[in-house]
Amino acid sequence: MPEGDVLAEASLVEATQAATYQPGWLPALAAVVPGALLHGSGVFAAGDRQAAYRLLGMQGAGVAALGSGIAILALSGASRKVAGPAISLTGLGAGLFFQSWMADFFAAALGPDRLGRPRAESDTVALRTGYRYVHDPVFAYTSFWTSRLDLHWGGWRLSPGAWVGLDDDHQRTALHVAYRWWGCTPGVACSDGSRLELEGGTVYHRHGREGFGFWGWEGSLRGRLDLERIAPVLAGAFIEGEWGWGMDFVYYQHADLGEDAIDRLLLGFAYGLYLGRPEAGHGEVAIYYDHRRESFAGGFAWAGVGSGSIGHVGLRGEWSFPPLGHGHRLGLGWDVQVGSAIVAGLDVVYRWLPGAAEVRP
Amino acid sequence: MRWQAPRLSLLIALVCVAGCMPPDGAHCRQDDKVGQASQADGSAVEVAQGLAAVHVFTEGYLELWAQSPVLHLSYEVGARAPATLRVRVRNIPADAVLWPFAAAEPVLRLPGTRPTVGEWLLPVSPGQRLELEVAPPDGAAAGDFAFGVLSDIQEALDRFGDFAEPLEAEAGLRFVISTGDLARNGTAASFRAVQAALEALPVPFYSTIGNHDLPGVVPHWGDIFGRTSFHFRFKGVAFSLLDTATASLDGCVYEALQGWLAASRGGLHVVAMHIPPFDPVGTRSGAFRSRREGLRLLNTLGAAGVDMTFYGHLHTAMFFANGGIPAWISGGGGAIEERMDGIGRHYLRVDVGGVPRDLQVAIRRIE
Repeated sequence: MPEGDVLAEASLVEATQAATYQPGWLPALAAVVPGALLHGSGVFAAGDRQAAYRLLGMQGAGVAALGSGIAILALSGASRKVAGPAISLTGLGAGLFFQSWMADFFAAALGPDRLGRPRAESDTVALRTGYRYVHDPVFAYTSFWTSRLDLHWGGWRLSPGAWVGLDDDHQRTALHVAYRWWGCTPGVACSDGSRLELEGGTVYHRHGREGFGFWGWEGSLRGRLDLERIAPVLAGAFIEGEWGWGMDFVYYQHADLGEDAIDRLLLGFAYGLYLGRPEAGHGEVAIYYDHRRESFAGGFAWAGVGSGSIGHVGLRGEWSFPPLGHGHRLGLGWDVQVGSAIVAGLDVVYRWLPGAAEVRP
Repeated sequence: MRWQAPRLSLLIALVCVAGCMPPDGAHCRQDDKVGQASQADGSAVEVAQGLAAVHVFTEGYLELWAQSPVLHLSYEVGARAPATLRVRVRNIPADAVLWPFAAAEPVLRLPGTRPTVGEWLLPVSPGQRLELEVAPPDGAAAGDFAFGVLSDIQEALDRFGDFAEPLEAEAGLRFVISTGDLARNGTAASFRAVQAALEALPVPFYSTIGNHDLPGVVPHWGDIFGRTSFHFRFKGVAFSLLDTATASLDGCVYEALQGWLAASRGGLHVVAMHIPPFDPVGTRSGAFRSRREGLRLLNTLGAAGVDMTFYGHLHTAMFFANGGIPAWISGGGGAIEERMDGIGRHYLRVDVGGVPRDLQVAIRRIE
């Protein structure tokens, strides 16, 4: 059979399955039991076997990576020579496991018709500015003004950002540059929100009152994949991942910058849902894990074995109101992080995409 | 309907906020109870700075587990108390004596079978208040001495006896400090087994708590070993053992630490804790859950002139510097070893001496 016919037949099968797909309470329940251990059970119960097998495959890859990472850590006694790759593998596995489960649950409970759709375009300018409340049992600060600007030019992005303490002499500034070689760029529309970027940047974090801080640099590979690319019934959801490395150069009140140089692993994953429609009110929400422990949220707090070894979790989102015209949009963003500290904040978001998008073939 | 997903995610986040963070101050509240006991007849005992756990306090009998080579006790004799008090102190130096305040001579130590267990018989009278010191005769005098650092025993308790002979052979070794992870888990039975093994050592063993000793709360550590964060002085050297078992320090420990740092300025000060503020292998990061909290602690220790820090948690031996302070990671008590580092089971011998006094560290491997 010619290749074109095979693809057409596969699309027809997927379209037929999508047409008979019945999400609801029972498939959602199946996504929990036995779905917590057998990912894909929810969409299988809702009527899409192909999506179920793909989610099961995703879970299998996750379990394999997770198991391999943990095995390497255990057998090597967390050897310094293999810990970085092993923790990366563990994080990748945990991410795939979590993402395939979330994908199964939300596709089984809500289905693609009740979820939003991605904006298949990239703004030229995006500005988020707002307030963050931080509850940290160790540090006295609580209030921050935060701001971040994203300037896109072709595949490039320049992103300065800052956190400025409102009740303490405390600042964190960052400047990142990224190149997107896959996904939407300003003025060039694409099919969905999937993207892949290489990002590098610097961070300066100053504890003014206490007299210490650090300057750091970091580089990472980060991306998003719209799950509709895996199966049509998963439309309206996306997964994200990040992997990279950084180095912090510390100064103390009694010692100069560079007294300590400490490297760090950048690792993160997320599962998210699109809300609304791009032409009207639109947004997204995502639950995520971030391995960073030098950030305000730090690492997750628990007692006993494993304490101090993981990062923080969070829930972030954004809602853009219907377009104002001439490519301007206003919206609200929010973020809640739980680690050794709790961070919660609200932003006003301004986005601008001048001109009409040219549709990429 | 489109708001169902965000609402569910928010619920998950809120559940985590409420249920996943260990309460701040729990260990301090437990520490505050250590070293105090009383009886219905009005007898009461209090160990200064909570440096010993009261194991038994009955009519005419007091048994303690010491967390310092030097102890100061206040004892209030009850109205109906017997005429003698038998004091048994476990985990003290072999040459420790019991000296009532203002007495011309120490009380004679009763013969015993274990070098780290001392027993004394004291005549007492109802209503009397006794101030007692249990310490080696040279405990307050400056001079050369050595101490050991041994941590992370965990599941290797059955092989822990291998350390007894080398420790006995160490000339001038007065005691061992430990950064914890003595047991695989924090059950009372496992701690008692550890304590029995420690009593087979020729020198006392003073330990803070590790994350493996901490199954969520600390109901057993305080009753069996004593405080999780404590401070003592021996021969002019200050020792601060800090509880970082949760990869953080409780706020109340920071407060206590400020006092310990202030009182120790100008002299040698050794600080030990289980989980290090940062791991020199940053990508592994077996360290504080907040890197900035770790840096803040080092900022405090460095500014106060701390001379050396010791950590465990990582089952290797590494020398490095943090915040300008020389630092050792030593987790060689037998827990799963870090491979490919060429270290294995070990302890550290630390010599205090020289002019001016400083600290010299040597690794002792256990084959």
